[in-house]
Amino acid sequence: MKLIETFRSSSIRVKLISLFILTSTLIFLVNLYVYINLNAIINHVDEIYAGNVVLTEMEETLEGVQSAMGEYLKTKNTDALESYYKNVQDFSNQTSVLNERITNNEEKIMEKTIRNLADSYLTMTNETVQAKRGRNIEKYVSGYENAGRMFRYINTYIYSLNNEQFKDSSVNYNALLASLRMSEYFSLSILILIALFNAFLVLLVTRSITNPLMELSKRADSVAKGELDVELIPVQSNDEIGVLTGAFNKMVISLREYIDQIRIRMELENAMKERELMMTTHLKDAQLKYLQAQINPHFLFNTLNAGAQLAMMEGADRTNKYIQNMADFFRYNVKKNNEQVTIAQEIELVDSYIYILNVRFSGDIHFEKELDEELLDLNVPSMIIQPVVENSVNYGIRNIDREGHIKLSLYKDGESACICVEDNGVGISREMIEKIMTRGISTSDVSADSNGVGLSNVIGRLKLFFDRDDIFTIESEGEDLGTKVTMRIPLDGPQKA
Amino acid sequence: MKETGSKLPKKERLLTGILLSVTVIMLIATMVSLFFFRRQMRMVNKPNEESERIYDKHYALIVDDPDDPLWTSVYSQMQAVGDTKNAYVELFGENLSTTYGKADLVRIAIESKVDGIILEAEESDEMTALIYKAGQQGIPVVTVLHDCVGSGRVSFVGINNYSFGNEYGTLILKAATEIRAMKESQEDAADEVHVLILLDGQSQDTSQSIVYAAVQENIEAAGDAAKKLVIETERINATSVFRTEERIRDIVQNKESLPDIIVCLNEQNTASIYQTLVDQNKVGQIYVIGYFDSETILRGIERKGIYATVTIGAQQLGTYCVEALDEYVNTGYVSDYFSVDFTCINAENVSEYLKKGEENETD
Repeated sequence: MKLIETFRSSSIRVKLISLFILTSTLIFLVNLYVYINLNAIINHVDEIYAGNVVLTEMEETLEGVQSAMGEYLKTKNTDALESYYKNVQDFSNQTSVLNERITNNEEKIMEKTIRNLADSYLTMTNETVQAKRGRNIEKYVSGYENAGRMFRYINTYIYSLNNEQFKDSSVNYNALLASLRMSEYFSLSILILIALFNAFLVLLVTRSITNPLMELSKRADSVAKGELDVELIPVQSNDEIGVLTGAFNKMVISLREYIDQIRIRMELENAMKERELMMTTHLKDAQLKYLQAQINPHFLFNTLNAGAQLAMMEGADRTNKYIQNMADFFRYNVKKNNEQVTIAQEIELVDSYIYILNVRFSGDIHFEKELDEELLDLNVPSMIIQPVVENSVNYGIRNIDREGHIKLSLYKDGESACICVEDNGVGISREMIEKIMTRGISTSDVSADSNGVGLSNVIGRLKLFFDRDDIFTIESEGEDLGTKVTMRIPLDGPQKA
Repeated sequence: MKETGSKLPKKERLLTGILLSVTVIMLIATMVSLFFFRRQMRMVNKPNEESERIYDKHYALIVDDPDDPLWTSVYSQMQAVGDTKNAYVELFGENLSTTYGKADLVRIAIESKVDGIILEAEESDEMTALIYKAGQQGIPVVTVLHDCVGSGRVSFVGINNYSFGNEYGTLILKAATEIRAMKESQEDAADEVHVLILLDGQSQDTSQSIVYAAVQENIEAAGDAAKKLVIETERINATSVFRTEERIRDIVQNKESLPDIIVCLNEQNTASIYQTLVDQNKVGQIYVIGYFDSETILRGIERKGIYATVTIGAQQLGTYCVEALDEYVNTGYVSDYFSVDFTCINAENVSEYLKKGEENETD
């Protein structure tokens, strides 16, 4: 198992090389095995008939001994004697390798008999030859006879043993052939097995290489489709694919983390914005409370009302109206600051405001209204039109030499009711518009002349109230060409989240 | 992630498992084939190596007819006994291409310096001289069944021919009584019972004459019963291998009057007679008293083709021979004579012997 672990942890190159070496080694070993078997068989074929060859040689030498002795006895020839001794030497050498132990192997016991017979025979022939030398005729004649008989016995024995061995050899040869054939089958089947095994091995290893790649590409596809939550691929090997898989996994994890970070940052930003808004609101509240704390509104209104009544009793109608309007204006300011009101109420407030200003500035402001009566009942947040008009007065027409005009119109445009405030004042630069629209003007512009509500506050509250971004637009054609502020109030009221 | 993590290794484990098992199987197959092949090769080279055994002594068994079932069973017993005494008993001349006579085989045995000879001897000068020569060269000779008196053999293992003859005589009388009873019931005029004893014409020893004498003596001792018994003998000269068989066929076919009882003193004659009777459809017409308990003869008794047979204990014979020889080789002394028992098998007890034979075969 350790080997497998090591193999798994090695690189593809090492894997492929070891695969190649392994398969080659296997094939080599099988070939070696076949070759060794074949060699063994060939050696055995040699061995099988070796015994027969020896016995046949022995038979010939024995023949040589007998005939040389006969020749010598007949002629007393020295050559014959020499040949006799040489043959005797050969024969005893040949018989000396024969078995001399007593065993229950029939062939071996025959060998023993031959060996002993040969011994007796050689003794006998020696005696005969000696007798011939000593001219003991009677002895050498009977010796020759006896030796002849012995010669026949030995010959018969050798011949019979040869026969037996040949029979065995044939059996052995057949067995050898059979085993050769069997060896062939064995070798072939082992070769086939090895080939199958090799194929299987190659399949396994290549699978271990390609499978993770396929898996990886599948996951990569999923990631490409945006499914970042795909399962990570387990790293199963330490090879190049393992490294690639690891890198891929890291990438997926990084992507996830990155996206999480973005989300968190966005959430944070949102929370911050919310807080900012809340803070603004709180600030407004605080300012209002401050104002409220400073002035007892009821006392102010009652005082103003008393002034109005006084003016009426003195017959000063204009003073009466002026004071009346002032009282209305401030009452509205105090009461409706945070409530929903109708557009009609808002317009009343604007009327009061313009009246007051016209009294203050001797009717410099020409205010026109163009209203669609049907839309007057729409609900809007309080204090949205007056600050816009105030803005037009303060920054638009205050410092111009010509007559200042402000036009308020209310009309229907598609699904929205448009509240439009136009002036012919100094206009407003594009940068300024941008600034107002994106960040709003800071609340530091709460001045003595203002009623305390800035444009940014209006824009913020409108956006929050209707939950729409395109609700407030400022347009200006350029310097001295006036400003147009449009508020698009959705007819179906505020969006319910 | 965990799920995939456990899934893939599982698959891989399976594959690894298969791979490993295939490897192991292949390894085993290779080992087995290698082992098998080597074994085959070893067997080819040295077929009897495993069963080969080395002995201290080499004894030669020399008999007239090594193919005789008697000698086959005696020889196997001798081998068994020899094994226990660390002596190898060789049935001499069995594997030779030339068929040698006993004299030649004895000469070969002497010259090849065996440690002892067990010889089915005969009373002849040549044999006497050879046994004497063997003795001179320190090779003890034990004669078996047929003795060679005065040859210097160390011991004789055989049957007591006299009591053997007596047993035949008893059997002849018994058969004659049955035949006479049968003839009287058929009111056959000739109430003489003819007995034919087949003798071995070649044999020169005295054992046959002793047996014959004992048969006659036994019958004469029976008194009246013997009076109407006509005993004839026929010497069969087995000059060549198949003569005996032909001669026996002649006797059964050509005799003008068939004998009532035929007595055979060897296994081959018994088997031949039985086969001839079967062939000629004369089973039951002649009472055959045979010799030895080969399966053919036992079957013959079982089928009533043979009246009875006298058999000697082959196992006892083999045991005594080897033991006598071994005793002499070891101590230099041995009893001069060992008597082997014989038994009579007839239709009554044949089944026992058949059963024994079957048991031996299955063993």
